[in-house]
Amino acid sequence: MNMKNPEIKFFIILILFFLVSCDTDPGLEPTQSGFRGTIKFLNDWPENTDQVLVVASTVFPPANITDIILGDPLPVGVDSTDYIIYTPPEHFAAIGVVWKEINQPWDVTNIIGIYFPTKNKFTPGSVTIPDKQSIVDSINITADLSKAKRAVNSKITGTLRTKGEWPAGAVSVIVVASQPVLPTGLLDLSLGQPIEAGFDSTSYSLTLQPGTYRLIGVLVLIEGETIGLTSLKGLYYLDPVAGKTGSVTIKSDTSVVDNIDIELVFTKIFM
Amino acid sequence: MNKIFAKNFYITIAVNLLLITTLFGQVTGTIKGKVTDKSTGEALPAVNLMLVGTVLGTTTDADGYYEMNRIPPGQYNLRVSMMGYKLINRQNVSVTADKTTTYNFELEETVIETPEVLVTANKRRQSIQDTPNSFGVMTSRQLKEKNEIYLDKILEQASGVNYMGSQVNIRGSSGFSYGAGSRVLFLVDGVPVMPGDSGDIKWDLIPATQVEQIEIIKGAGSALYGSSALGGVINIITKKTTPKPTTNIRLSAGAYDKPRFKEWQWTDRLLHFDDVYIDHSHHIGRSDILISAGRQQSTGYRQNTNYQRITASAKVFTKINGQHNFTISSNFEGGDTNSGLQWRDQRRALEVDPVALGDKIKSDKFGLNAFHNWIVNKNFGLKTRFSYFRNYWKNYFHDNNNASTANRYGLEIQGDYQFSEENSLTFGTEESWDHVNSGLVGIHDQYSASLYVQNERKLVTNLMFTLGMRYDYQYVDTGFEDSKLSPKMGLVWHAQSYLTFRASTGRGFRAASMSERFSDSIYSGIRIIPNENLKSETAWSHEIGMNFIPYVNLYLDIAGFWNDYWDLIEPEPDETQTVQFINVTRARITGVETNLKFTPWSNGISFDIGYTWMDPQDLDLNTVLAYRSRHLVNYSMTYKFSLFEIGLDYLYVARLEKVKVYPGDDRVAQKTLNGRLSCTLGRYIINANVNNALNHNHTQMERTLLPIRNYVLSLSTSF
Repeated sequence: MNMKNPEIKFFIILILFFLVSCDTDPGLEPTQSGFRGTIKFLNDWPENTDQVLVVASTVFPPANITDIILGDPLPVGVDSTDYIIYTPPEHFAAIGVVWKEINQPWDVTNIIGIYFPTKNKFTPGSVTIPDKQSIVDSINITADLSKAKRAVNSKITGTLRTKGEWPAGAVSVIVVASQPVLPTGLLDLSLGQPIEAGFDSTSYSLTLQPGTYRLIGVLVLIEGETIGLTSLKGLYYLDPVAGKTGSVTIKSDTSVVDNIDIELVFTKIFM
Repeated sequence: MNKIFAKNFYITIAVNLLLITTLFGQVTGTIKGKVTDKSTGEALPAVNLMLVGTVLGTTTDADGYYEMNRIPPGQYNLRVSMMGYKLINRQNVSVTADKTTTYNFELEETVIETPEVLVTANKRRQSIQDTPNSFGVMTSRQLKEKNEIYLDKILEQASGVNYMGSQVNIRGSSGFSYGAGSRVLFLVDGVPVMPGDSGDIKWDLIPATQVEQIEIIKGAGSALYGSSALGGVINIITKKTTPKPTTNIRLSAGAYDKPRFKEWQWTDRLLHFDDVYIDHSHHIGRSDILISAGRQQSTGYRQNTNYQRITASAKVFTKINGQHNFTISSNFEGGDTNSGLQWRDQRRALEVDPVALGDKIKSDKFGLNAFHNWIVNKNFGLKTRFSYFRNYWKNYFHDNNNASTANRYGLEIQGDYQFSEENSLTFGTEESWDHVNSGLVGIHDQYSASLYVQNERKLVTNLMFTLGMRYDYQYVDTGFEDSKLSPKMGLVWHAQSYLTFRASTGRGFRAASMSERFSDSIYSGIRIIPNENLKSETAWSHEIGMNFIPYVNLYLDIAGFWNDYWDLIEPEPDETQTVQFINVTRARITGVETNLKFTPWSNGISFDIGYTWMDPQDLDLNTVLAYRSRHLVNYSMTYKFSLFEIGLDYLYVARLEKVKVYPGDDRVAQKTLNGRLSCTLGRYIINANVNNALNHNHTQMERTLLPIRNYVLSLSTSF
């Protein structure tokens, strides 16, 4: 090759210029940050277990599968296991354990465990990963396998009606049902799908496992506020005048109980 | 088939019959000759020769000879063209009754290929500078330079083209539709090859070794091509048969480098790939035959992405006489591909979910096309195309064993009437029937029928006008019906011999694929439900452009485009986490595209630079449109000296500003630098390539890392 040839010099200079201009940017890099902890399982593993995952949600409760990130499948049949989830810096409103049944789609409301850093079992603990190097430790969760919900066709249906002005920042409402009349925590609640706030009247449907539900109510989610029993703004009453709450019994996997109508009173504190 | 469809079907058949006119006999003459390379004196095969203002044309054989017979006596202009050579327009070619006249030609090589390229954008061969649309062409020479087998890897280096996984975007048209449907129509030799179930493009059907030319039509093209030509059309012109016995062999092997980060190294094994291709042309009786076979295998660079595939094809060209010729071609591709859809997490970006280890897809595809070309007289030609395409796949996944078989039958009859050199008419009818039997979508049939017509004529000196229209009718067995009228208008003004302006406007549409309309399944844990009344997506494309060739060593093309979209089909999860394909988005993409090719001093060194700027807007949400990049840059330089050719190809795709599925994930621009070196030793060509030489890590489809640095060595020979 004749280096005196101006074409060759030009070409080599161009290549060098080009390589330098491309720099050494690696593009994507492995995530170094995340969170970890231990999952302790209570009760027996259901036979129809497909997968159990740790999930982290940027909002709680998650409204959509895109609101959550999923960890690796956890080992099935164990009493406890350690886990780690690598994720870029983020603020997670809640971290929980989700159960999936064989041959059924994911249901992000099928939660069997939630990270509660305090004794308050109504307020999930949030986790903030501050930077790209931090692993937040001790995000330990107790998962109760008896809370796993099989796919059933049994449900309650009814109408939600509002009384008064919607509170500022109301985002959505969720119909909930609990077998204990006084739920001890979020895991006692069967959660429905979020319904967008702002309606005067709307119908709803809540899938429930067989059993007797002594508390059926509606949580109102306010932007920026944590969820708790004070979020309860409506209850199902057998006799609203006497203040007698109603209970509903779901007899089988196909039972449907209609006309479980609830009035939302935003100014009232129910519990 | 319902009554309305039957009525339309019979009408189109009747029109087909009307198109077939009787041949009138007359005394004719013949021209013949030889075409050679001016500098080397070597015979040039596959040179195009056309009598301008007629439908008569031919190509040279393997020894550079041509012969055109049954030409009515008279004076003609003969256009002689070939990729990489300067065009020759021989005036006053004289044809005498019952005589054979000889015309020999010497073609002069050029590095700037585009101006002389003949394309089929308007369903007939014409110079690229006579088309009112923006056009991209990749010639066989460029395909050889890239030393790449997969068409998608080659196409992503074309100006204005980028990919989201296997989904091609032309000027941002497609975005990401999860492998269901394509907003770019994929043709092989002018025939749509898209399966009836998923309606997407199967890039592995035809290896690049069997491709003569790739044509990329930018903007809506439904006025001639119908459904799916919403954002553009890609037409693959397969290799021609040659009468001289010729065998081509290509052996190739390569290996992946280690990942840039130790966290991503998931195995200590050497990850490698190899392929072998062979084809052979032969002449038997009146027919030229081309057969080919190939095998590709790879360990994959990501976990659970290994594959083994075989391909085979056959093509038979039979020239009955000067008026009739037949081509029958078939393609087959089949194999096993392990499926690693998404990374485990960004910490383990080359690993997949452990439960998905071993998931694989068995698939095969088979296409059969039959073409009949009838030159009725010097002004009128009639082409008939029959096509069949079968796509079969079966999942062997941990959570599903879905299978699908999609059959597609197509028939097209096209007439070309050349009134004069300045006035031509293209018209025809096209029908198709899709039958799908799938675990994902059920058993369904879909029919379509269409009529199209297009007139190109010179209005005044150097000003060409194109007006076209196509009517498409679609019927789905559930009773769903839809029809679309797609007009098109274009202007080409050759202001100077070196300066051409163009303008075009046209409508495009895409009918929903069966998987978008009927999917009813649980896929990767997500429930998908059908939407039987899904409407077609529609678009209007407007474009103005300029083509400037002041010197033989400089080519500049600039285009501004404005594309409006209605009812774009997107998968949307509802509040119950159930996904359904619905018509949601009203969008607009405006932009500017430039393409510059130049050779600064001589033919030794050449540059090809493309830049596309886009402003993709979601007009419903008043935000940037998801899965679109604002800037695309492709940059290529090649230096040839002695027996060697060295080159660099660089691709830059700006960071996606908006994605829908994992908006919280890291996103970066795509920066891919490929290096290539080839050496020609007699009949042997040795190629060495380094792909992704900078080992830049990026994704197109979310959570799927693109190939890390890899090295390829190949040997090609022809005898």
